[in-house]
Amino acid sequence: MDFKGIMSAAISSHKEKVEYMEIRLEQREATSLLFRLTNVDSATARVDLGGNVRALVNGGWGFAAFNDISALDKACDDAITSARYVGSFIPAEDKVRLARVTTAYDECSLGIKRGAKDVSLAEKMKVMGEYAEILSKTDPKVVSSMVRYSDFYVRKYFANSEGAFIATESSDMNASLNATAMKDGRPVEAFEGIGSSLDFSDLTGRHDVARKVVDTCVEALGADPVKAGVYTVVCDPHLAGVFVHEAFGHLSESDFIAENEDARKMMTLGRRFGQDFLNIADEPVPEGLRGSLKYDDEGTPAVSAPLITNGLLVGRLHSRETAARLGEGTTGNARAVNYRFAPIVRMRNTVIRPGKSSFDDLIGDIKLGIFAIAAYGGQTMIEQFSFSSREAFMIRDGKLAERVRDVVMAGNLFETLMNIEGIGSDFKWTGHTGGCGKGGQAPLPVMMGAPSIRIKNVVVGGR
Amino acid sequence: MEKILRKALSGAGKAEVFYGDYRKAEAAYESGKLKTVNSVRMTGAGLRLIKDGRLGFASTTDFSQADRLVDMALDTAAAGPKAGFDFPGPKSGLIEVETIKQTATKLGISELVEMGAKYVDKLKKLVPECYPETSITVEQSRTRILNSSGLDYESEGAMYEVYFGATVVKGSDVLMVPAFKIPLDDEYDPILAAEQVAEKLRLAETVVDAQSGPTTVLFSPMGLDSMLISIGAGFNGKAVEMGVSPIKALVGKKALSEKLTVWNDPTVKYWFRSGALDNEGVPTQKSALVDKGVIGNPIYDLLTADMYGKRSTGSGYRGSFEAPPAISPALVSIEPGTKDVAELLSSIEDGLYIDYCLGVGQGNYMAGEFSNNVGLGYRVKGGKVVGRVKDLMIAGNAYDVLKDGLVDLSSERGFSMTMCLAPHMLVQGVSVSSKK
Repeated sequence: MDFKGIMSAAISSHKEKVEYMEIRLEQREATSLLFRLTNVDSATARVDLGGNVRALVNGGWGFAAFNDISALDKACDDAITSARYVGSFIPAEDKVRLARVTTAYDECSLGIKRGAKDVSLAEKMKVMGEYAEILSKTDPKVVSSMVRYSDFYVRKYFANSEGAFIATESSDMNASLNATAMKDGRPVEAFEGIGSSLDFSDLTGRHDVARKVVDTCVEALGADPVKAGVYTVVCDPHLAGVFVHEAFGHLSESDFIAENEDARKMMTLGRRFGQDFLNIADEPVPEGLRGSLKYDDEGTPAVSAPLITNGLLVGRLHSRETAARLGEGTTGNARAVNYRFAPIVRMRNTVIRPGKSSFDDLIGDIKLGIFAIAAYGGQTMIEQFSFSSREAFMIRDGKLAERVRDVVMAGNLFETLMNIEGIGSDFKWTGHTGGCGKGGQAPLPVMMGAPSIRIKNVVVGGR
Repeated sequence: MEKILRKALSGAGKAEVFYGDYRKAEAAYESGKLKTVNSVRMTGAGLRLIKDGRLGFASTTDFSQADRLVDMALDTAAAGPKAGFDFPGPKSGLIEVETIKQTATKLGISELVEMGAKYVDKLKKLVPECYPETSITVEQSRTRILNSSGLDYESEGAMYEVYFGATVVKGSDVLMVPAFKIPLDDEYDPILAAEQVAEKLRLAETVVDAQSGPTTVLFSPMGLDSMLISIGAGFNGKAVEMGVSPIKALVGKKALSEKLTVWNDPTVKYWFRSGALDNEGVPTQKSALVDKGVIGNPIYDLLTADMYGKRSTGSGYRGSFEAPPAISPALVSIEPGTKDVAELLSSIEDGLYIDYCLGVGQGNYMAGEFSNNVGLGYRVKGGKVVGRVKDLMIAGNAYDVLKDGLVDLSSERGFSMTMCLAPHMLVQGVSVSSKK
C-alpha cells in the first residue's frame, strides 16, 4: 500500500482547516506462545493495520483512531470537528501551541539482525520449549512453571501538515520465565525476563536463566516474609532502575506540571533533589535498546535529556505542547503505545549515572539492612511511590545474611532521593521485558540503566 | 465472517470466528482545562480453529487479508495446545440481560464536554486551590460469534464511565484524589462527584502521623484492590488445576469469614460482560465463589475444562477480537452489608481509612500476599477522620485478613480499580509500618 501517497493526499485536502494536523499509520505483526509446564497452552498470531489523525484547531486537540484505512478521510473530518469544538471552549491564554521542531523527511531502519519475522514459529517453540523443560523438570518442588514469549514487528508512518514524513520500524521479542513451588498451601514464585529488539539470538542459549529461576524459587521456599520496619536498603541495578523510573522519571514528564502552577513551582529548575553525586537522565540511545528512538511519535528528533546533574534539577521531558507551554527545548519524549492513542509525554531509557563504590563499600557498614534484587514492579502518585523486589537478603553487620521475601518499599520523592547515600560502579541496562503504563497506554517499551544504589530510611512493609 | 469461516473449514475440522466492532468517544480535562476529544473505532476478527486435534488462533484488523488470517491460524494450530472440545452449538431458551445503557448511546461530544465542565466548575468553586482532572468515556460494542457447530450469536453493549479526581500541590506536598464511576442502575452526577472529591480533599488537608503495628482499617472498594486481585485470581480454574492457587485445597471448606459472600455474576444489567452466553458461546450462570465464608468451585473456559476433564462454567471472555478467550469471572460482586459507610467509620476508635493503594498486583498476589504504600489514606480517631497519612505501608495476606479480620461490610457498593463491585470493608489487624 502507498502509505505516503494516501497520507499526503489526506493532509493536502484538510490542512487549510487546521493549525496543525498529523497522521500516523501502523502495520503490526505479532506472535505469542505460552508454555505451562512443558505443554503449549496457547499459540497466537496477529496482524494489525490502523492509524489515527490528530488535529489542532483554534488551540484545541481532536483525535480519531480507526483501522479501516479507507476511512482515513472520515477520521480527518472527525478529528477536525472534535478539535474545532474543543478549541471553541479554550480561552486565549490556554490555547495549545507547539514548539518548533526541525521538519524531518526520513526513513529509518532499526538495524534488525534476526527479528521476529525472520524466525519461524517452530523455532520459537523449540527454543522456548527447552526453557519450559528445564523449569518444570529440574526440581520436583517446582509444581508449576510458565514460559511466556511474545514478539512484534511494526512499521510506522508519520506525516504532518508541516511537511514531515517519517517511516520507522520498531521490534520487540521477549520472554518471561516463571517457576512456582508451594509452601503451606500457598505459592512462592520466581521469574526472570529475557529480550531483545534486534536479534532473536539474544533469546537463545539462555538455559542458565531458566536454571537460575528454578534455584531462586526453591531457595525462596525456605525464606520468611520480611519484618516490617525502616531499613537501609541496597538495590541492585535492576531495582535501582525501576526506582529511578518511578521516583523521578514520571515526575519529569512535563504534562503533570505544564498546566499546574503549584507543581511548576515545586519543580523549579535548580532545586536540589539529591546529593552532589546523583546524576539522572533520560536517553534515546544507545541504538537497539527498547526505549531508543530517532524520532518520537510527534516526529520530533529525540535528544538526550539530563534531569538531575550533581543533585540539582536541570531539565525535564517534553512533547511539543509542553515544551512550548514551559518555554523549554523539545526532547522527543511524546510517545504512543500504538495508533489507538495520541502521544503523551513518556520516558525512553532512564538512567542513574554510575558512581565509584564497590558492592562491598555499599553494604560494608550496614548493621541491619536489606539487599533487594530485581524489580517486581513500581507505581507512583508523584510524591508517594512504591517499588517491590523479586528477591531479597538481609544485611547483618556488613554481610549478606538470610534470604527474605515479599520486600515492598514505600518512597517519598523529596526524602528518598535525598536519602541515596551511595552509588555503585556496576552500571547495567535492564528492562528487557514488560514496560511502562500511563494513561491507559501499556506496555510501552522502556529501559532503565543504573548501578547498585544505597538508600537510607526506607519504609518496608511486612508483618 | 461467513467467508472466513468457510475458508477456515476448508483447512481445519472445526472453527470459530469472533467479530468485534468497538466505538469509543472520550472528552478529557487535564488540570482543570478541556484538553481533547478523542474517538476510536476498531473492527476486526479473531479466528480459532482446531486442526488435527490442536487449537490455533489468529486475528486481524485488515479484512482484505482473509486468506492470510486463515493461514496464520493454521500455522499456530501446528504449534498450539491439544484441544478435544467442540465449539458449542446454538442454544434455545436463553434469558438475555440488558447490556445497552440508553443514556450512554445518547452522549455526543457536546454532552461529554458539558459533563466534564460541570464537574470542573463545581469543584473549583468548592476547592479553588485544586486542579480537577476528569474524563468521560462512552463505549459501544457489537460482537458476533460464528462457529462450525452452527452457533451465530450477536450481542451489543453500551455503557459510559467517568474518571474524576483532583490534584493539590502545596509546597512539596502532593495530594492526589482518584475516583471513578461506572453507572449501572444509576447515572453519573457531576455535581455530586465534585462534592465527594471536595470532601476527600478537605479531610486530607492536614497530614497526621500513623502508628506502626496491627491496625483497624476501613477499606473503600478501591482500597480493597490488593486483596480483591488475590481472591479473583485464586478461582481461575487453570491456577487451581496447576496446583498454584490456595483455593485448590479449600473448595467446600469454610476458609473465610462467614460475613463474606462473593458472586461471579453474569446477570448484572448494563455490565459489558453480562449475558446469557460467554465469549465462546457457552451458557453462563451466576455462582457463589464464596458463600458465607465457604469456598465455592473454580471457574473454567472451554480449553482449560477440556485439558483437565472439567466442564466450562461459561467463563471464557476476551478483551477484544485480538486475543483468544481466557478464564475470567463475568463480574466479581461482593454481597453488601447493612450499615452505611459513615456508621462503620464512626465505630473506629483508632485506625485508618484507606481509599487507594500503590503497587496493586506487584507482588505474590496469587498467594494472597499484599504489601502496599498507601496512596490515599486517613487516620481515624474516636470515629472521626483527623487527617491524611503518608509514608506508610500496609501488609498482610488476603486469605488470613478476610478470614479472621473481617468485622463488617457497608451497604453501599462501588467498583474497585480491578473491576469488582464491592462494599467498604472494616478489617482488624492489618499490619502497618510507618516512619513514625
